[in-house]
Amino acid sequence: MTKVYFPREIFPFAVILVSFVDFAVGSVVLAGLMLWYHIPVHWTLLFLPVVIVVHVVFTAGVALRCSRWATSFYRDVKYLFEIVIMLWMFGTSVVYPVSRVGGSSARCSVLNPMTPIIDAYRSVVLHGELPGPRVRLGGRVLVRVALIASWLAFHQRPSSGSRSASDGGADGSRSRGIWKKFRRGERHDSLRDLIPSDGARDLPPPSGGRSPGEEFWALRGRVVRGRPRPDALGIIGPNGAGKSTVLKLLCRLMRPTRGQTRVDGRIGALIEVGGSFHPDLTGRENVFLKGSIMGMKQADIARRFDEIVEFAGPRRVHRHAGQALLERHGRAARLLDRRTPRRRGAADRRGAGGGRCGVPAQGVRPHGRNGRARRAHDHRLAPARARGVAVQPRDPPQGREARCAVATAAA
Amino acid sequence: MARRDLLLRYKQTLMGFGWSILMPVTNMIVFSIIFTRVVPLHTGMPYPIFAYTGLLPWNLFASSLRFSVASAHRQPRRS
Repeated sequence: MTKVYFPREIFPFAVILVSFVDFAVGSVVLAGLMLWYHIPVHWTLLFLPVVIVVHVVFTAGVALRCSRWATSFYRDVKYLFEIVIMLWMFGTSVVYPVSRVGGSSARCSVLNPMTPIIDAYRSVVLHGELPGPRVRLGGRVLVRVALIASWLAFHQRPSSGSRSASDGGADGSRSRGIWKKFRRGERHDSLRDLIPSDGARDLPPPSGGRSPGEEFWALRGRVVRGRPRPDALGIIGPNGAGKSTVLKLLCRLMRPTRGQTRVDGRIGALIEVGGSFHPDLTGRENVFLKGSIMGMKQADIARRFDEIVEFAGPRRVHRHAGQALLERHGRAARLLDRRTPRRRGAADRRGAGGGRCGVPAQGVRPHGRNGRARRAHDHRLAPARARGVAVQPRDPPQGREARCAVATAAA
Repeated sequence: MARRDLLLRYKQTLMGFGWSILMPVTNMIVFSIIFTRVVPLHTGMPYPIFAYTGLLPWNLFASSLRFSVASAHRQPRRS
């Protein structure tokens, strides 16, 4: 089974695909309307696919651009956006013909790329004419520019650190000299959140704390080396030491600011296990969703569905999964278990529903058998010891200067 | 993922896919009333079909943008 590479760019395209279904359904209604009004079907209807392609490509370009904006700004953009769309609609000849506006506003509407596109739909479907050459050319040039510009904009993230492919080395996974820098402070999702925290910035920071916005290194040049084929490796440390950071770097959920991580074999992440489950779907649907994201075939999931459910423990998979974080964890663990041949993944208990969740300890245990390597990550020391894992913190963390302490486990 | 979105969009609505038809149709009716009764507009063809051919592609465009902005927020970002 292959791991699915998930490029960010497909989000806008997936969204267009969804809207396109609406479009297709709506076209049926249009056909009905044309029959009703006895509009003849012209041969130019053959050009409709061309118009649709131009339209979709342009939409994709703008959508990419917009989602880039949306991710870099505040959530308020969404509301601003509604207004812009509305104004744009009235600036486009959606509900009136272009011939009705004259003079300078007509020239304006030439600059608006949606106007020729919508006119092209009309002339092809209703008038039986080809879209004018200027419209076609102008439309295409704009479309191309929009797409290229937005593609570039979408990719102008700083890319640092390299991902190395997993290759068949002899020893365990290791991260050599990984560095990860974060920005201190909350991420502001909306202006409303920004204002109170802006005020708080003027207050003296809590004793010993760093001021928001300051960059700090969560990991600094620490060479972490797993023993050759360790049975288990525990990563321990106080809050904020960088345990999760190490695991996320290993799983390549994040890229290191500097340095690289290397993994031999496969790694299955149990970090933030609730991720990608959707509360509106039923448990059954979520099993299929998660499975397909992880690269299982539909038939595979269907075949193993009972095992997954059985492993999940609580027999409530057919209900809505929203409240049952516990179930999610179990199912995800099972799914991972089934498809990971040798190397177990990292289990972050905090991400999996906090310390109150009683299941993970049992959920993790089976993976240690059969000579599999296991990487357990726990906020408590005791369970790690109880599983026969000797934990020996290196460079014990002190206060706020805490670093990630790494312990190698006895086999 | 597109299938998930599609499923979710209509899962908890009563009419399901009916809504995707109703949206442009309602718009068409509203604009038809405005531009045939209140401000008559000559388009050289029945107004409803004129409005509908405009609204249909526009809806594709507008809803794509709307959802892409929403999806950028909804998909968890890691890094």
